[in-house]
Amino acid sequence: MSWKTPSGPRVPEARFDPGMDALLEAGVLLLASGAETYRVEDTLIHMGEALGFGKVEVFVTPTGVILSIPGHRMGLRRVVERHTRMDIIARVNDLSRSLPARGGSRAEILRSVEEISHIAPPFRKTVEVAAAAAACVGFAFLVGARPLEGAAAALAGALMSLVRRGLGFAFADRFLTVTVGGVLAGMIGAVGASFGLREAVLIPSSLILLVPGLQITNAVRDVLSGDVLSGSALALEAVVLALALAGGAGIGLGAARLVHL
Amino acid sequence: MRLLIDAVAGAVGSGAFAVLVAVPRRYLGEAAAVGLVTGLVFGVLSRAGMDGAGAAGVAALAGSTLSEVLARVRHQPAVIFLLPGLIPLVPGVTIYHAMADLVTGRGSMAVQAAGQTFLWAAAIALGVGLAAALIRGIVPQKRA
Repeated sequence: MSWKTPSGPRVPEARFDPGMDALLEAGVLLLASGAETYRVEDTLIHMGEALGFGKVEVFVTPTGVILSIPGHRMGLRRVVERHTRMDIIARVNDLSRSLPARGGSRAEILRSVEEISHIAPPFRKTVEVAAAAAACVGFAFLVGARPLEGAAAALAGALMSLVRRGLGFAFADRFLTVTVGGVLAGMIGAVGASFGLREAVLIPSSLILLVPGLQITNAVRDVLSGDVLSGSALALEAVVLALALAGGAGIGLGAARLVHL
Repeated sequence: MRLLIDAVAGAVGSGAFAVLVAVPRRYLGEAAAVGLVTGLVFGVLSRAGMDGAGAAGVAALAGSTLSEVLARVRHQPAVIFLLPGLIPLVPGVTIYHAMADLVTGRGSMAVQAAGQTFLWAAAIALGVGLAAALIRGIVPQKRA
């Protein structure tokens, strides 16, 4: 997976010092994968020290990294696409922790960072669909599902995951993806209800795959760490996504009721 | 029996969600363990008659504390364990009720359910925040 920047492919002359590129790239990777803002700043400061830059000034928001090092040009990199990838966060973290001991030139470290950006997701697509089904089943039993409803939740989860994957290709827009996912969840509930299953179990279990959990947890942790700007931005994003999700579910339910499903 | 189901459901839900957010294989067990704790705490409290939002808040505090401890033991950011671990606490049911009441024209009940959803999310945030602040105060995470 590659991380697109609005400026397109970077021209060699336009590159910063390789160490600075390594820092910017690491910051973008962390942010795009769902790391907390304060944690990104922390990591970049420590990596900067290990790379011999001394004290590095970093300003990170959910949409970009700004880096200032005395004697160098100011570095800025935007984050456009985001995919929650905990494996990438763990890999950058491991790299950052290994830097003081490992040595190596700045260009080598830049290469290591770039390698992380290309690692494949740790699980195959079939495993992911199965996991989506299992996540929905787990949640269904937490809200008191009967065995048959658990089975229906598994089907719903697999279906949601497949549709979401398809949507992700069609339009990268997360707002739309979440809304359409909500519509689907509403319809799944209505169809289940016509088989005597409870909507109140099926719909929440299907929605679980789309809730803005990352934004909520990171918002709190960022505000607490003093990154109030990032924290409030994430909280706003969580509200917008939750409204999109609920609105979608409402549309799905309403449409199903209109046709007396 | 009910509590056993809650604990297993929490662990399965969180473990599976961890796969979806690409948590590295070697940490899947930890992520599921956090889900087990949040599912169990939530189950115990809500079955003991506690309000859903309150139970979710306490469960978030427990799960978040465990995540912070795991983060220090495993030298990884807490978000790897916390994000999947909190999934069992999502207020999906109140969101559903808010929407279902709205489309069936029961406006005032919809507002009530929406308010409950907000309180629920706030309680989770409070739990997460308290745990992070407490643990950071006691054991600041050492960096490389």
